[in-house]
Amino acid sequence: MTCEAVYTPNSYKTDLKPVWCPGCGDFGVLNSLYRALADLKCEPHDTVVVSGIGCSSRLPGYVETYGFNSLHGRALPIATGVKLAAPDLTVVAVGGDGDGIAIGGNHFLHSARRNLDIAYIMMDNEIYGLTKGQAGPTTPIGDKTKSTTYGNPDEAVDPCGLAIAFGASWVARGFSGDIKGSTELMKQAVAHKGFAFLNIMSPCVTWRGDDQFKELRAKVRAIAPEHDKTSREAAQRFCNEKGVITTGVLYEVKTPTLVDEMLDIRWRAQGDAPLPQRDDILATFLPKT
Amino acid sequence: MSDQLTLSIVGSGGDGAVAAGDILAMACARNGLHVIKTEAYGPQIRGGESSCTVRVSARPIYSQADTIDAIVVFSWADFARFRSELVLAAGAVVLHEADDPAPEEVKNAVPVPFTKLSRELGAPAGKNVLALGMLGTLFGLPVEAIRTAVKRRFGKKAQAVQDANLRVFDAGVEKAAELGIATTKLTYTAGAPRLVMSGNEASAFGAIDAGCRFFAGYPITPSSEILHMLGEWLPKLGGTCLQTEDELSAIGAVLGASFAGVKSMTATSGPGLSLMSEMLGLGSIAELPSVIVNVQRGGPSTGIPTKSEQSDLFHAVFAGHGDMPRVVIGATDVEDAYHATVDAFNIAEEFQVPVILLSDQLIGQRRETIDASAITHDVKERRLAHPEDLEEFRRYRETPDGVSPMSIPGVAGGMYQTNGLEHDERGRPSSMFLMHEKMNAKRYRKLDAIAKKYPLFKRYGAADPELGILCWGSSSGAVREAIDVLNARGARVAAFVPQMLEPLPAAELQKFVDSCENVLVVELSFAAQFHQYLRTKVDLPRTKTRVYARSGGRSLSVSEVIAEAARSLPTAKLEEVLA
Repeated sequence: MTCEAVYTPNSYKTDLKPVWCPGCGDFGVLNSLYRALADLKCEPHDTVVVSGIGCSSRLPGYVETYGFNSLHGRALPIATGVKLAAPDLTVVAVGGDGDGIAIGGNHFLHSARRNLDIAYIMMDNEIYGLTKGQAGPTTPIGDKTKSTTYGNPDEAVDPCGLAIAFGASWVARGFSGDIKGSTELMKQAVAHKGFAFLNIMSPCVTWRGDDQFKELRAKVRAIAPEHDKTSREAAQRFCNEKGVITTGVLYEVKTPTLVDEMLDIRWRAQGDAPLPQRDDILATFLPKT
Repeated sequence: MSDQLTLSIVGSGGDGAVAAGDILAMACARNGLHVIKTEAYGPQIRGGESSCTVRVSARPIYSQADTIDAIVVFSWADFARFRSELVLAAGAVVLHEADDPAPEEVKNAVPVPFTKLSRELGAPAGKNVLALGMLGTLFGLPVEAIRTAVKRRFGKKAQAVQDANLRVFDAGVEKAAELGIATTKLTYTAGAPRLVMSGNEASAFGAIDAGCRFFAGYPITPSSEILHMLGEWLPKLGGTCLQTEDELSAIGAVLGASFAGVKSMTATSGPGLSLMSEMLGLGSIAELPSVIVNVQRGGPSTGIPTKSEQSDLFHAVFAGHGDMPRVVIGATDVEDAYHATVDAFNIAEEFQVPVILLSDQLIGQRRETIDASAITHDVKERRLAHPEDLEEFRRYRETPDGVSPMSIPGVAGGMYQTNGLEHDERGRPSSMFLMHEKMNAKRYRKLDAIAKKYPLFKRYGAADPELGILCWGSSSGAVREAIDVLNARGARVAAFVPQMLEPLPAAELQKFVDSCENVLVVELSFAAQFHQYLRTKVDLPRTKTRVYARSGGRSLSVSEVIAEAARSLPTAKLEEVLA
């Protein structure tokens, strides 16, 4: 990458053409991410985008940074290792609702409660797209899909509600049709110290129908400026809403991150003492006189 | 006079059987003796029955002894629970709590008022200390060193408690002299102190020595001591130890940290390795260095968590979907757990592959003396991208040995996407047959290079064997001792122990098999996994091969190996060696 190209949205584009269907909501998310990275002047080689498996998890291939397209549901464990091994890196995890809540749900819980210092962007399309149209954890109850011929028997979950309950320190909802709004939210997510969870409603035109964009757009409402972002109770009121989708930052608190805790543990373990040598360690296995 | 002996102590929680074993082992190691200490517990988390067995020797030992020369029984009910593991030698000395009469079938048991005496001397919980004083005196052990160890043990308690326990110890010394029973004393020359380590601690130290600075793991018996030790030391060394939510996350974090440039490891047992299988494939196709220690226990499923078995071999060697090169190393004993761990890191880093280190409960949790000077091993580093590699960087570039230069995040010009999808040289997804074929060939070429560079195996015994024993891992200890006995009785037996299990040193192994008149495969897997595996790799003629394979749950005994080996010898020899 040449210097003059850095920090414009285009400079984060790779030469790979996305595999997504024309009209897919994920294009909007990708464009917002290019803009957010450029606005934040994220050094591409100091940035890692990690994903699991699914349509949306193809995203790291389209971003000119370091990338790790891993296994279904496992983006967060990988991101955990990357961030703890190299805390100075900017780490962004991306994936779908099935990847993050169904097969990877356990990691979502624990990454949030540890306050892992990354941005986690979930592209929520209410369906399994890559496997061609089965119900997912955010598919509304009763919906007929390829795997729910007689209607989905399961209640849908609200990813933001989960993130707040799990202990994420920054939680927001966006809409991929609103690139400007999504870009702003992504910038905040990446800049946030701690586990920043951004759920972006990202329509699947192929398996949820051409109207999903229109239907979502009609339901989207920006959160009121006077909303108390530090209150879990207030934030939860914007989860599992009927007929309305509230976008914006629902919850934001400052708490120590996992990286902070790990640094603190090193301090508690060693303090100002010199690094132990191998003989110091071996000596603990020598019988005392 | 004898140059080695085995002592056991058995009791309930609070009797201090294991604590006494610790003191005994440490005091003997302090005087340069060789020690192997094993423990066994009932299923209770606290307060259940426990037994501790210490084998002490003036010469190197490689296995537990088959039989016990002396035992202290605080409770016969507890003894009964370990009946199959605690086999008394003919003429074994049995000291038991006088309040608990010996069952009729136990001959010559000597009642000792352990509880009464220690209570009278002001240390109501000191019966294990009393036993130590007696055992030390009866068997010619380093009594002063044991006394010092007792003193140290109670060093942090009130002076009165320490004094009382020392009184109890001295009373034990006197009591032993009073008994007037004939015992065989240990003969030895005191030497320099030896380290006392478990296999799990040796693996953890090996990781530290190899430069591992990231560990992620989920607690599981019998591997958790690795998590514990690295949790204590890695932060002091500027590293990170993370207890994850499950094994999927543990190995995921390891791959992430390795991608970011830090040497990384996880440790688990069979159930955990099962969960990690999918990630092994990711590590293999993404070509990320990683070390996975699997401390085997009885399986399948939950199986027998606290006991050893060698039945994860297939899983380690074959686990995962797709064509998936990986390396598997089998550690043979505690000291080897150290070397094998460093080798695992060296191979993982040099060749960018997942390396599974197979240990087992018997290695992982037994404590053994090691010569400190043996604990050194060369350390290798990964092949990082040089500036010339970074022009038009191709992370998965084809090379003669299959190893491509690796860049790490933070390096300008080294950006790439790593991928569980099949990919081209730049890491971009590809579903083309020719690319898949080319990349498979590249990844598998690494195994050829590893086989050449690391043909790790041990060979023991006769140069011109009439019988060759093939075994791996912890079984090699009993096999090695059996060979010494057999050859001392005029047989010509040898053993070939591959430490490298995948890629197997097949040429060396074939040469060994061809040089033997007969072959015996020995392993603790009911399904004879090792034997089946060998059949896929070497020509093992059926006419000259016998197999001794049984379940784990009880460790392999030396006499068991001798008996099996004798059956493979000519009839005349058989009678000679079993005489």
